[in-house]
Amino acid sequence: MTIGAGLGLKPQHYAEATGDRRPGLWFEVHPENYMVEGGPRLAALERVRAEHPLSLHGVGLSLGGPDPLDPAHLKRFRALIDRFAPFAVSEHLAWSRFEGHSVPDLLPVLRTSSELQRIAERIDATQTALGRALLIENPSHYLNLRGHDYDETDFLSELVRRTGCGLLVDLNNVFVSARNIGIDPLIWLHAIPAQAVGEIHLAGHSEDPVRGAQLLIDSHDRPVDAGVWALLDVALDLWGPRPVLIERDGEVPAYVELIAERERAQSVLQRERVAA
Amino acid sequence: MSAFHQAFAEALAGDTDALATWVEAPDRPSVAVYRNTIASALIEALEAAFPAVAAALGSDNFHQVAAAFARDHYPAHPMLHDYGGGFADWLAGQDALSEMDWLPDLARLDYLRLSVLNAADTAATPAEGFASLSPEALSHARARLIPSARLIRFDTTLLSVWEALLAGEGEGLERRPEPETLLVRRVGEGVEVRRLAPDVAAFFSVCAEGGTLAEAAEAALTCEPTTDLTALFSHVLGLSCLHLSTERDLL
Repeated sequence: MTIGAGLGLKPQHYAEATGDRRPGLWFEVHPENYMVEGGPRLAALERVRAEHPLSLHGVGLSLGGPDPLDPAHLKRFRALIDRFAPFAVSEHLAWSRFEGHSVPDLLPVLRTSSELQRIAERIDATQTALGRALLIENPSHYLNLRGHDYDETDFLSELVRRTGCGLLVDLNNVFVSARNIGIDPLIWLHAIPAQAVGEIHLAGHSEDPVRGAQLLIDSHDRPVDAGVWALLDVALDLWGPRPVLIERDGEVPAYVELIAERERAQSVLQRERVAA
Repeated sequence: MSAFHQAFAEALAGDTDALATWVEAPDRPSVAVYRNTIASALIEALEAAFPAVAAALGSDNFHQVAAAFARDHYPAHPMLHDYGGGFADWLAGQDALSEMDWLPDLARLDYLRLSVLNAADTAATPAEGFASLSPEALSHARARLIPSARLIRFDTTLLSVWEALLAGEGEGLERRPEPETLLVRRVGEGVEVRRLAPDVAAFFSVCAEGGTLAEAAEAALTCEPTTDLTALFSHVLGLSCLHLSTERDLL
């Protein structure tokens, strides 16, 4: 089956998602939400998976973190991969675990030469433990950190070269970061190795309640912004068709509303393009 | 931990200037985006896990209480669906909440409901499985509660309060000074909480602790000498929450 545009799967949409047979539709979940012993959550995911391709998008591996990789977490992740046979497995260039605890966020890495080596080794170890190549996602940036040795695109490209991982490009994160720390989104997209891109994310963002439009938040609580849709066109012109996902985690609307956004992504994917 | 990781952790805890080496002063307030994201996600997870506590406190108060807990208790792992394991005991230690001394028990029941919902899918032994044993084998058999069925005991009644809060009712919030044992079990895609009669509670308690069915029956009779054991056993099996293990299984 061709993988087209997909949706982040929400529990309130299990039944509609399972029964939706439109071509190319797929779903993505955070594996951490399904690391349970049993019960209705896993059963619902089984039903969705029986009808649709699935992607597992991790948020808890803390690939850029200071703590050792957590073997128990890797084991749980591997069990889900073995059970649900996802077409893609992804994580973030970020960290979320320190001093034996995890925080539900994606903290920024310092892109130094030593961190490149260390994170590449951690990605390599993770891929070995999971038995799969990972797609690594660019996070949103809110701080203009000093001390980087690499641009983000160069750092990601090096990770690809050293570990054989692919990339998940989150275009909303590119848009948000461009506004927040002043990168040029078009230069950013052109610097990404096309062959490495295995998935694209789209989501909505919001303005910071204090600083307004000067600081955009990757909030996933509204429809995809026009500027992000424009980046999708550029990205697909550069890279060709790739699986595209609509993410929504807050103010989740009815399924019919989300699927309409997915249909827009599907139509953009199907548009004829001149090869880059 | 690298100096950068250490500084970021300190910035999350409130010392934004710890990041001075890496972030210009005017940008440092943006660390609040990370701090707020973490707090919001943890509060949201607690609100989902502890609906009766949230109903008892009201949304604004619950958010304040949850934020205070979350500040000092980052999750042990990245799965937020079972975050809040220490919330009940923490509530019990809060002087400001001492007048609502039933909050910790509400939290214990909320958390048990969540644990049962996500428990392993081990099936209960059907009644025929018990009926196939000889009386001798049956009396020596042990039957544990399946993972999706758990007991919880309170010194004063709680279920009516818990149910009233979840239903959004202000009535029925009085606890009576009598012990109450509840069976929390997954039924279909939901969780049922039911009060057990004292003899049934005694029977299940022995089963849960690994005793034989004969010992469980004896406990039920000790609790209630007029108990009809046949009727009790039929009732217990009807609840579909025991997994039979014969001596042969244990070898």
